Amino acid sequence: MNLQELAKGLEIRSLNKGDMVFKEKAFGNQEMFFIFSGEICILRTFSGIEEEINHLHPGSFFGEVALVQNVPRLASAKVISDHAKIGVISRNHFIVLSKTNPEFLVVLFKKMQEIILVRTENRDLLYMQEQELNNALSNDIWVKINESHSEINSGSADSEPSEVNSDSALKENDEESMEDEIQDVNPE
Amino acid sequence: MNIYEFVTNLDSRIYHLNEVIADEYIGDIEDKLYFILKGRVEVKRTMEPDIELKTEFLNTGDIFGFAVSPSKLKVQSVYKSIDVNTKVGYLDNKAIIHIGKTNPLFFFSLLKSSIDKLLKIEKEISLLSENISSLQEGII
Repeated sequence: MNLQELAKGLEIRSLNKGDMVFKEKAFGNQEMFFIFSGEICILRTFSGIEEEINHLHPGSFFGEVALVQNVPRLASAKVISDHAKIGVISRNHFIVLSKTNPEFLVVLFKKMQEIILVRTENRDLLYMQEQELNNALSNDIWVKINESHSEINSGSADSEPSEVNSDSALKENDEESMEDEIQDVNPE
Repeated sequence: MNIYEFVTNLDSRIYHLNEVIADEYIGDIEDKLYFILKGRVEVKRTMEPDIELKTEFLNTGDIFGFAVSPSKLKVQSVYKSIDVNTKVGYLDNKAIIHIGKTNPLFFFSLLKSSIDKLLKIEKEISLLSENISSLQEGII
């Protein structure tokens, strides 16, 4: 039995390209959706920029969060194919499906578990990216600190009296060796 | 609504410290839904070729399994007991359907449990995305 057969009996909505199934942050009916035909993209705003986070095809579910929690929509859903047909699953319908079509809900639950795994991977990749950026930034700061140390040191060498005596020659040698040490620590 | 109200007669097993409960490498995650009835579980994930991802910890009341990631990243998970005694219950496809038919709220409860977890992950993703944007601005 395929998903489309499992989803028989759902209320069907016909939509056209550009139609919004729901908008991000909107409170609405506690409904989730099943795609019979057409394509839907899921859009979410990150730091003020709307990004496509998912592209869904027939047989996919979406909008499940609002079914179980009375929270604003986490993302927008927009029709991107010329036409689309979606099945609407309300809370009551969901409970009825437990008796009439539990296999459908098993498939839905399995899909949810898969989404969790995929999003966990996405989170872990972002976590890695954050760590890499943190490392790059702290290395950059380390470079800048060393550069400013070198500038301070070379500045004091410039202010040395031009008259060279044994003491100042000794001091210059010390400074040279100090600069060498800094270069050893940070070859850049 | 607690998911455990529906699963009082689960088949279960006790795992000792460091004992592997489930391992995607040998394919025992996809067909079973695991319930942690008591104890603590460590989830070690490795991305091919050999990149170790953030280790996650699950506690009493958490569920896992019944799916493998469909992504192309090839991430493998190993679930291990990190308590002296971790009690884990199982349900297969047939048992889930049976409970769902006799308790109409069971599937709703399962879905709610998944969504609660998903919302937690989405929150972490938002936070990480914001941090990454700020860090990128700092570098530029």
